[in-house]
Amino acid sequence: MKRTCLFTLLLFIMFGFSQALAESIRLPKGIITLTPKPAPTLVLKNMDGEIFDLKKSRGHWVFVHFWASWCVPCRREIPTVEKAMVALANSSLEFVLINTAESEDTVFNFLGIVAPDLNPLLDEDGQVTELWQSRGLPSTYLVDPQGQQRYLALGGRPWDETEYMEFLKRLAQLK
Amino acid sequence: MKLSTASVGFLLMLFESIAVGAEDKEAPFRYEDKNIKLRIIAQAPEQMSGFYEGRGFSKQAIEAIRKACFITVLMTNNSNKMIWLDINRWRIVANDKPLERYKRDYWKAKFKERNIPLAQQSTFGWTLLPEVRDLYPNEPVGGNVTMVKTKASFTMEMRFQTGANKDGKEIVVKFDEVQCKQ
Repeated sequence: MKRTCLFTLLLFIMFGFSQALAESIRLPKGIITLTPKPAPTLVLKNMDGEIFDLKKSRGHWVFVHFWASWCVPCRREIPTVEKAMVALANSSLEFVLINTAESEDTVFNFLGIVAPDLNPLLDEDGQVTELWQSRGLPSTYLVDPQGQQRYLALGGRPWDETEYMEFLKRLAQLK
Repeated sequence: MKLSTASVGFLLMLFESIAVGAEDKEAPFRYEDKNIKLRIIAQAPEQMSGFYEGRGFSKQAIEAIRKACFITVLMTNNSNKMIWLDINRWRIVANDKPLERYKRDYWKAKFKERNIPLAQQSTFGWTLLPEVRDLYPNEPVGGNVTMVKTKASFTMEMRFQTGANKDGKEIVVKFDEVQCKQ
């Protein structure tokens, strides 16, 4: 009993410490803190037909990014996402890109030119994007290891620039 | 890289390539002060149908789109406080009468009756200006406001509450002699 109580207390302290650390991170321009709330369901297939379920990503931070090829800010932003993803490949931060309501052919043709290393999830009917109630396209949420939405990027951001990279690196270090 | 200033979520390629190209000739309506940056552009039916046709929209959808008046609105919160976008607070008036605005429900019903695929409905939705939005400092937003097509010129009086609790000084920007492109 004592041992269980101690373990619970330890978990509670660790969680509280992680929350406090997340709150103390200096935010780059255009990143806002959200009141933590559970991320909506996100179960989609990628371009290889593999299923991704956000629920299985507990224990680490997830960069959830919605985009479409017709959206000009998305076109500018996506190469910076790819660069950040490559640079942080060895970190625990997971990048999840969701194309909103476009066909696989459109996505394939677009990414082949702009960011060939990306393998986004396909929200073919746009309903998952609706569920997340994004503020627009592009939209990026940072989901914490407990599955809570914690930060939101307003519009497109240059993710490969130092202040954004540092921010993402710090998040990746948090549990 | 100017992502932050150019990151209007709903900016379409169309707006950059056609609307900006047209601005020299037709001088779109613009307003800017220390609080807000605002620009509106009337879109021609060919511009709108071309954009949506390029995204695989069906004939039925295009038909409905061509019948409406599309005004693209681009705005940025230049201030250091919250600015509230709420289209219902705007006054759009032609010949002293309010001009009927086609809200999201109108398009939803229109597309449903024409069996337009969900993906197209979703894309269309993302190109509309959000009905309500709490705009953070430096945050841009953009999209189309749609309304009944009229040959008469009209006034768009755009009102924005300010401050986190909407208790700041209201911002009012008025554009006269706006016209739908026929």
